[in-house]
Amino acid sequence: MADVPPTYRRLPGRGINLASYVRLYEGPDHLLQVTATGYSESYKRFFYRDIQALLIRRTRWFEYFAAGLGVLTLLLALPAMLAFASNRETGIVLFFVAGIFLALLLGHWLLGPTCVCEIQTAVQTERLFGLSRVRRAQKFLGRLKPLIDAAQGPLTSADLSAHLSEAWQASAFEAAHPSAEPS
Amino acid sequence: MPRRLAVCPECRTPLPDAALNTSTLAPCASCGTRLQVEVFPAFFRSISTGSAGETIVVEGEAGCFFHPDKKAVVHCAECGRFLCALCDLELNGRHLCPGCLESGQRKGRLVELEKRRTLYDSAALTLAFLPVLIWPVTLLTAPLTVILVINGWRKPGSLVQRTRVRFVLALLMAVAQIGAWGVFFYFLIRSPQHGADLPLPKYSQVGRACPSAPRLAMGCERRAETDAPHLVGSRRSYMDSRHDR
Repeated sequence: MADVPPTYRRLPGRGINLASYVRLYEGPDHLLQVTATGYSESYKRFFYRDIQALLIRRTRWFEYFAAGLGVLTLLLALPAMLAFASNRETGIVLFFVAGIFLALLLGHWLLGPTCVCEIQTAVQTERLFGLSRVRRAQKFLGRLKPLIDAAQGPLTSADLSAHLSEAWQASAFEAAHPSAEPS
Repeated sequence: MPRRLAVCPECRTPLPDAALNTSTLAPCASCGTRLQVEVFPAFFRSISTGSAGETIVVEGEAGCFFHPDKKAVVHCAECGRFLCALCDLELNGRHLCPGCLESGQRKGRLVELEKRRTLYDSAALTLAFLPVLIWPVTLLTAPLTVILVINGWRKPGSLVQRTRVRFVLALLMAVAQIGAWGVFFYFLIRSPQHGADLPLPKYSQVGRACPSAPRLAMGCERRAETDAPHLVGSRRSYMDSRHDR
């Protein structure tokens, strides 16, 4: 009964969730989310045939972090400039610390806007903690979409419109007749 | 009949067609949250309900092992029991009965159902390197690391690809620690304990060579006190015996 373990390929995205480290892997028929806590790993599988939707929602954390780091850099750089004339050593130390915050700010800016990425199946909506940047999430989606299309078949825009108009009609009917069963 | 609409995760407002599968972030018409929603055909698929199994109507028809009144449709790939549509559990194209599925999951033989694994290699690596900060503890942790490496070597590691390099590093470190302790204990046991059993050093011979010059002899004794204090007692008794004579 022992199975041959499937081979996994690393997907873009990694993140930290409380005291665990989250990574994403591409399996033969499923997406694997690995949550490592140092001495153990727990797994969540999302089968390509079951994935209904993937949502990427932009968050404001990018602006908040950038503002915070910018303020800290300025708060250290200004006294550093003032101190540099009178006490050179203090000025250098303050400039060094300000430089660290500036480097963090640049790194944050280079990584791009932040987001929350969620995967939806028929029975759950799970947040993918490994995807916290829009660019990385879109790269991940680019890798995942062909696999889901291969498992479910492609969804053309005409199909999408047809399905949605049907859903809108049903929704309108339900709103008009709350107790009635739609045809 | 599928009647589902994609909604904004922030304000729960249904999203129009134009907001779906756009490949870029677009603002929600209601709350303004910028989002990208990619939907797949499974979104519009209705959830199929499981079959309950057909009742046996003809005498002599094969019945399910668990539900004898239900018609058997397949046999378990593991134990061979006949199963009805209700008891048939399909896993990667294999049909299993609930008992075999449960035992396979419990014993970790069904990789598809594994939810957690212990990383013995990471534990061994930590046990080998971290106690170095409090080095006396390594006397205990180094043998434990070796035991952990031997014990965990054959056990399944991470589900995703990982080499055994952590085990090797942990083993090397543990062996080095054990070796260092071995050397330490060797020198501890071999170091001299009592001066009485040893021959007198050269400077005491100098003292003996010039008995008419007590100052020189005293000087030699002082040197002996600082250089080899454990020998001074034996030298003193020797000098006293000479004096008595």
